[in-house]
Amino acid sequence: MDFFIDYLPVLMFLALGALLFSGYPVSFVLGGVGLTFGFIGIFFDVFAWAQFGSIPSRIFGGLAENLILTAIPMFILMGTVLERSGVARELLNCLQVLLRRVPGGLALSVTLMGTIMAATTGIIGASVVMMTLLALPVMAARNYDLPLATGTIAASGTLGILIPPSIMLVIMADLLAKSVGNMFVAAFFPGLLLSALYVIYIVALCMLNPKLAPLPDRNFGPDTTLGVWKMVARSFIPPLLLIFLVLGSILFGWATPTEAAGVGAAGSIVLAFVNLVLLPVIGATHDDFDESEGLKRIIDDRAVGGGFIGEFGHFCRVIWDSAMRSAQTNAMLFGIFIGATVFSYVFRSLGGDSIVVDFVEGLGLGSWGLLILLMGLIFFLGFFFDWIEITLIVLPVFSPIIAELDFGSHVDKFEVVYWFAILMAVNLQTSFLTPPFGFALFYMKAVAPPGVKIEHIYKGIIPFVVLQLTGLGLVMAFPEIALWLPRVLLN
Amino acid sequence: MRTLLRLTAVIDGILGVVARIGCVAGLMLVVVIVYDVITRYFGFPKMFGFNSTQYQEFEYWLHTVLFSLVIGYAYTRQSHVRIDLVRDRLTRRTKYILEVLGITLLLIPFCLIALNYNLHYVQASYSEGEISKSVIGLTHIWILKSFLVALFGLLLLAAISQLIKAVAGLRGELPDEMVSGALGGDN
Repeated sequence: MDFFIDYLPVLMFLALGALLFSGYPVSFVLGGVGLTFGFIGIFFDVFAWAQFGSIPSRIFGGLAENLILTAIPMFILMGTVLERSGVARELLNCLQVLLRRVPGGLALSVTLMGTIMAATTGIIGASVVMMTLLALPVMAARNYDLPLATGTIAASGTLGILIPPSIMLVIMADLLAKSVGNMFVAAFFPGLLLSALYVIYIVALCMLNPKLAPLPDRNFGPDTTLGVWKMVARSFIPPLLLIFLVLGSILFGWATPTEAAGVGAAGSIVLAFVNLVLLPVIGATHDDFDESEGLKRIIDDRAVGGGFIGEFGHFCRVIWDSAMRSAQTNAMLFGIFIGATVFSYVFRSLGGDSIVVDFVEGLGLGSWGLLILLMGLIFFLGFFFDWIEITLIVLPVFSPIIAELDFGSHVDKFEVVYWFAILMAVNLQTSFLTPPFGFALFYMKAVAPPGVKIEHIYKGIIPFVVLQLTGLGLVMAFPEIALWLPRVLLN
Repeated sequence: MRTLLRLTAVIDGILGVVARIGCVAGLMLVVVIVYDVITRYFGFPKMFGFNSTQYQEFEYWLHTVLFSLVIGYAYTRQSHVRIDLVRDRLTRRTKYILEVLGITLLLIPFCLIALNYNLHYVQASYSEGEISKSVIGLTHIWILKSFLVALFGLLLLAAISQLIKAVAGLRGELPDEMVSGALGGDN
C-alpha cells in the first residue's frame, strides 16, 4: 500500500494523460484530476482538506493579481483585429506584389508574413488555420508545387511561438520567474535565424527548379510604379510600423510588455478604422479577393456601403466581434491556467516534485543529458498537444531541475533559463511539424482545399524540419545567438 | 426534457450577457493602458485622483473581470480546447457519454469545491478590510476576489447547461441545431 501512496503522483500523471485523450476540455480535465487525487490523498492521509483552502490564493496570486499576464489578452486582441479587419490579408497581398519577380515569391511572402504576423497571433492552431486559408488556395491556383506550398505555410505558421511578442514566452517568463522583456530579446535572433533559413531555402530551391513555383502573369498587381508605392504605403508600412513599435518599445525597454501590448491593441484598432472606414469612404477600396467560406468566417473586411455612418457601424461590429473572439481565446487559455494551477499544486503536495527530482537524479545524467532528455520529452508531447498544455503542465513540474542545470563555461548560470526557454520554443517548432502526429499538420489538413492530400503535407514539411533542426543545433552549440542581444541591450 | 432544454436556453442567455460585460472590461483595459502610458509619458496629471500604481492595479482588475466572466460562456460556445486525436473517431453516442461523465465526475465537483473555498477566501478578505500589497494601491481587494467566485459560479451554470444538452443528445431529443453547441465543431 505504501508503494501505491509513494507513486500516487505518477498515477496522477498517467490518469491525466489517459483522460486528456477522452477529448474532454483540457482545462476541466486538469482541474478535475487534480481534485480527484486530492481526495485520494485525503483518503490515504497524505493530503488534508485544509490544503484545498490554499488553492484560491494560488489562483488569485498567480493569475488575477498579475500584471504580466495582462499582456496576453492584449496581444490576442491585436492579432485578432488585424486578422479580421483584413489588414493582415492586405499585407500578404502587398508582399506578393513586391516579390512577384523573385523566384518563389509567393512562398517567400508567406514566410515573411508568418514572421511579421508571428508577432501577433501566438496560438499555433489559429495561426496555421489562418495562413492556410489565406495562402494555400492562391498557391494551388498558381500551380505551386503542393509540398512546397504546404511546408512553407505550416513552418511559417508555427514561427509565432518563437518570434516575439509571443504569448508563449510571456507565460514561460511568468512560470520561470524571469523577465518577459529579456525573454523576448533572447528570442529575437533565433526567430530571425529560422526565418532566414526558410527564405534562403525557398529562393535557392525555386532558382534551381522554377517549375515548383511558377511566377505570376505580368499583369498581376498594380502596373505603374506609383500604383505599387501607393499599395506599399497603404498595406505594408502601417502594420509593419505598428509591429516595430510594439516590439521596439519592449526591446529597448521603453515600455513594459503589458503597456506595449495594450498600445499595440489600440494601434490595431486604428489600422482597422483606416481599412474599414476611412479608405472606403474616400473611395479607395481594395481589389476583391476570391474567398472561400472558411475565409469569410475569419475575415470581414468587405465595404458595406452607406457612407461614413454605414462603414463606421460595420467597423464597430468587426471590433466587437474581434473582442468577443479574443475574450474566448483568452478564457480558454486562462481556463487551462487555472486547471494547471490546481493540478500542479496537488501534484506537488503529494510529493510529485521529489519523485521527479529523485528519478532524474537516479538516472545519473549530467546537465547535457538532462537537457536532451527534457527536449526529447517536450518534442514527444508536441505530437499531441499545443504549447499551452506543454508549457503549463511540464514547466512547473520540471522548473526545479531546469534551475539546477549547469553548463559550465558554455552558458552562464543565470542565463541558462533563458537559453532553455528558447531551445524549447525552437524544439516545439519541429515537434508540431513531425508526422505522424504533427499538431500543426492536423489543423492544416482540416482547412486545406480538397486537392491537397496528407501526403503532400508530409512531404512538404521534411525540408523545413531539417532546417529547424539545423536552427536548434546552432542555438545549442552557439548560445550567443540567443544570449548576445540581451547582454548588449539590457546588460 | 423540453422544460430542461428551455432552462439551458435561459442559462446560455445569462452567460452570454455576462460574457459581454467581460468583453467590455477587455476593451476598457485597452483604454486604461493607453491612458496610463500617455499621461505618464507626457507628464499629464491623472484624472479622478488616482495615481499610476492604482491605474496599473486597475489593469489587472479589468483583466480578471475579463477572464472570470468569459470562462463559463466559452464552454457553452465550445471554445475550450480538446485533444481530438481519439475523439474524432468515436461515435456521437460515445461522445455524449464521455461528455456526461466529464461534467459529472470532473467539472461539477471541481466547481463546487472551488466555489466553497473561494467564498471563504472572499469572506476573509472582506472582514480584514484587505488592501493592495502596495500601500498606495487600490483598496477593497474583496471585490476583485469575488470575481473568482463568479468565475466558478458561472462555470457551474455552464456545466449544468451542457449536461442537459448531452443527456438530451443521448436520449435523441436534442434539436439538430444544438448538437454543435453540445459537442463542438463538426461534432
